[in-house]
Amino acid sequence: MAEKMIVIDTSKCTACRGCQTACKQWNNLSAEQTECKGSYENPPNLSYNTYTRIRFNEVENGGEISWFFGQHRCLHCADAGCMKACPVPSAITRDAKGAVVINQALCTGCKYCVFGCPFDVPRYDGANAEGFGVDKAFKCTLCFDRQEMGMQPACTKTCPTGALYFTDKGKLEGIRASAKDRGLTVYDGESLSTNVVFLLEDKAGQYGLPPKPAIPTATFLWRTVMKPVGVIAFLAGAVGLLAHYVTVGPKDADDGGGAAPPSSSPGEGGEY
Amino acid sequence: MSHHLLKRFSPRERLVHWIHMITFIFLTLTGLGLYAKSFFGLTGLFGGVDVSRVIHHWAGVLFIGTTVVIFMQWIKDITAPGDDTVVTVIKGYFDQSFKPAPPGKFNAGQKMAGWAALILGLFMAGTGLAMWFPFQLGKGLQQWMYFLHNLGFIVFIGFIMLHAYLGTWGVPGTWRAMTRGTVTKSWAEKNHSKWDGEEA
Repeated sequence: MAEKMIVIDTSKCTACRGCQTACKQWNNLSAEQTECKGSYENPPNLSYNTYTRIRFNEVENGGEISWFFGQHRCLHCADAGCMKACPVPSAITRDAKGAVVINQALCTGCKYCVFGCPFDVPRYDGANAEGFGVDKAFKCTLCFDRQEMGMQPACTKTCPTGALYFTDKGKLEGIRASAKDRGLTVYDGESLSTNVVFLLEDKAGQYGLPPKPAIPTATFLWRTVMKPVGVIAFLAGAVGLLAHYVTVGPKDADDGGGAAPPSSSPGEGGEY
Repeated sequence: MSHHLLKRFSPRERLVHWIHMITFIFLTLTGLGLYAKSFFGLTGLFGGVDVSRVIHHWAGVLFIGTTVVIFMQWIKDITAPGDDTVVTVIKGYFDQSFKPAPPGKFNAGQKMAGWAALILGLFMAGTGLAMWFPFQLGKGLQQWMYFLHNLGFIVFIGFIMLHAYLGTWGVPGTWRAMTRGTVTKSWAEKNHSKWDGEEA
């Protein structure tokens, strides 16, 4: 099964937010309290109830206003930080088409994925203001359920301008070439190799994307380095202590002494 | 035969140390189960991941408490001056013929263990509380809390392995100080010759 990807051509995005609405509709996510921040950007952030939103970035440049519209959503990394951080087998998986999906039936609500994501995507339900929640993490699923029925994701299906479209990941190189001709840069998460790819008119930062995407250093050290280090240190320690016992030997008060008290034998640690 | 024995630890001191030890074992086993996919099976020992988490959190609270109590109950002996140093104590464990300066109730290594238990205990408590309430510090700092809790555990388990070894097989006769609160006179003469323990 070929890997799929979503392409986001920012040069065609009009920030209509049809993708936000279609996402809510398909995933049956209720509306939430909005917040006026002096722009059209709403809701204010992703949540357990909002898997995608359009960022509105207004930049003044020499008296001219530029508007950058960037989609904030899961990028479905091939090397996913959330999957690395997750301690539960199969709770976050990546399928053959490239969709990284949280299985809420297995999710234990530890929130590690929230802090392992380089794109600030997974959201935990349980920390909302009302104090209610299901104690699980949520995010975009790349509509793997729609894909299984032969349909494309809700966001790409609804996009009226062609800014969002769904295609085979194998076509990335062709897209890269044509994007270059049009003066657009391709943002594919570099070493993370995302299955959601942006075609950008300006620097990644203008669209709310990290310029150097990578799994957070702390998360990498914690998950990839410390586990083998810990296991090796533990085994080395056990072997070292055994070696001490066998070679140097215990520090026995009664070694070679003729005055061993009668209580010494059964009650002492060395005999255990 | 009681005239061969010296009082080492009171029942209250031993009880605190036992609670400390048992919570440490529970924290280690539940913590590993909550740590990574390859250890996830350990959560089964406690009836699943949710129970493991509850046990880990509240055993942690108990552990913070006993960390403080245990340090306070032995603070006088931990901070007492002594002629031996950690280096001479370690040398003594590797060279049986080497005689370090005679220690009092605690030798320099045991005093360091007292400090290590306090510092590592508070370190695990701080990073652990950050993991229990992860949305307080901000994302950048919180990511490091997971790493530091992990790092602290590796140092802690190394220290505890050594501590457990020296309290059992490494120095025969020590274990009964924990179980019965007494040690033999020959043990005291060998290991703590400047300590004048009370006869049991």
